[in-house]
Amino acid sequence: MRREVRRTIYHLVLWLIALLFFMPVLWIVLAAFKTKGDLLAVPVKWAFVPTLDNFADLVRRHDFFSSLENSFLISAAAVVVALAVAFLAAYCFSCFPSGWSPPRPRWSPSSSCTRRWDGRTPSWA
Amino acid sequence: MSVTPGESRIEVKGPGRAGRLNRLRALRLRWVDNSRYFPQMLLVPVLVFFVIWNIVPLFWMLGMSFYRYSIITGTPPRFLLFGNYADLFANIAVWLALSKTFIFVLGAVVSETVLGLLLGFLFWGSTTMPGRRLALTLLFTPMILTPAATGTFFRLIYEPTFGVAPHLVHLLFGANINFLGDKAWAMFSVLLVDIWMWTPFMILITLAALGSVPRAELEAAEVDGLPWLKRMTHVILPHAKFIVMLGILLRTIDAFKVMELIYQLTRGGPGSTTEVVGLMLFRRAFEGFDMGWSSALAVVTLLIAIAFTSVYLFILNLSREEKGVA
Repeated sequence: MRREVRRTIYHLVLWLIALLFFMPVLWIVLAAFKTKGDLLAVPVKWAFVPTLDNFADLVRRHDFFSSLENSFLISAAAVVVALAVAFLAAYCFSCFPSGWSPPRPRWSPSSSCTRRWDGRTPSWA
Repeated sequence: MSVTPGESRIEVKGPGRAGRLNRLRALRLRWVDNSRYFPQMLLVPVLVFFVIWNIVPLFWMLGMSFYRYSIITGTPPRFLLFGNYADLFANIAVWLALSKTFIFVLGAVVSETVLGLLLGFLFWGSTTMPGRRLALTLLFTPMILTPAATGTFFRLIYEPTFGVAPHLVHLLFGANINFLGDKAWAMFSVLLVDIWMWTPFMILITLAALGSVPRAELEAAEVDGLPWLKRMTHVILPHAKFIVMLGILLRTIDAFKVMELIYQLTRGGPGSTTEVVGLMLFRRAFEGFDMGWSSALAVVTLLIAIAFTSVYLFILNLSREEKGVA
């Protein structure tokens, strides 16, 4: 029984820590649903009537969708290019590992790849 | 045209344009297919990227650091040799910025590591906790936010008139603190945001490190009734320390080049209380347009960062050799 109680307290503390870290984010998320008056209220208002005005405002802004599009474009391009380039390099490192021990940083990648490739697929493939 | 596997044997027929094209293709196929340079060819895209985006700008910056070059005056660059470096060395503001950066790095990395390890251990033992995944997700949210956005919304939270942090402090302790406007509190407040943002990263690293400890060894330690401290030093640490060290290294480098977070929070103020090297660099380069001088500062910063990294790698390799992994 005592063990149970201790375990419950332990889990409660962990949950509190997680919530503590989430608090500022939650505060900003809540701020998105406040009116300007509620946001700038002195002293700080804890209870408020939620509104979607800020979101409507955001969508009506002329540059919102173009910015969003730019973000998507940049992240998509970054992922595609990085994947293509890194895939080739990673293939080289994983298929031609002889004379090269992966966990240790070595500054010349070529030492692994100077061996003549016999044209066969690697044993693990 | 026929290609046999293993060795490219490509028959090229006829003279003229088609023949030449075929010969070229044969050459290309021989190269790509079973050339001894095939592995190196796989590395070419990465190296091209690396050269274009890293090496060329690096040397460009290095070259520019020897010139007096301002984009707004319109005068051609003037060669100074080490003039910019001498100026850096004599400039008290640079030393102040460097010392503030070191304070920031030390404060951030030490607190994040200690907190991260502590909370990582706590969360490691909580496999039966109800809603553990949700709790961890909430815990990791600060890490995935953009530093610029974090800075902006923490400026709202710290805002002395309507911000929630001064309000809470007033409720709890009865003190009125202007977090970002007070010289005594500005650095601490900025550090607090960085710690809030990156402690989850260290928790994640700690969890990964603890996950790499073999279960069998842990169970053996438990069966043998090894005391807590010994279990820590003999079983967990030898396995976990590489990953933890890697986390510390990444955090050090990241904290050293902090810019946008502080820029959004205080713009280096009040006065120059929170003006770290990254911020100084940004201001001189993109607000003052003094390219030569800021290149020199960038080179110095880079050298310091390299020094940091080498020390960590040295320690990492040392402990690895001790363990006999190498």
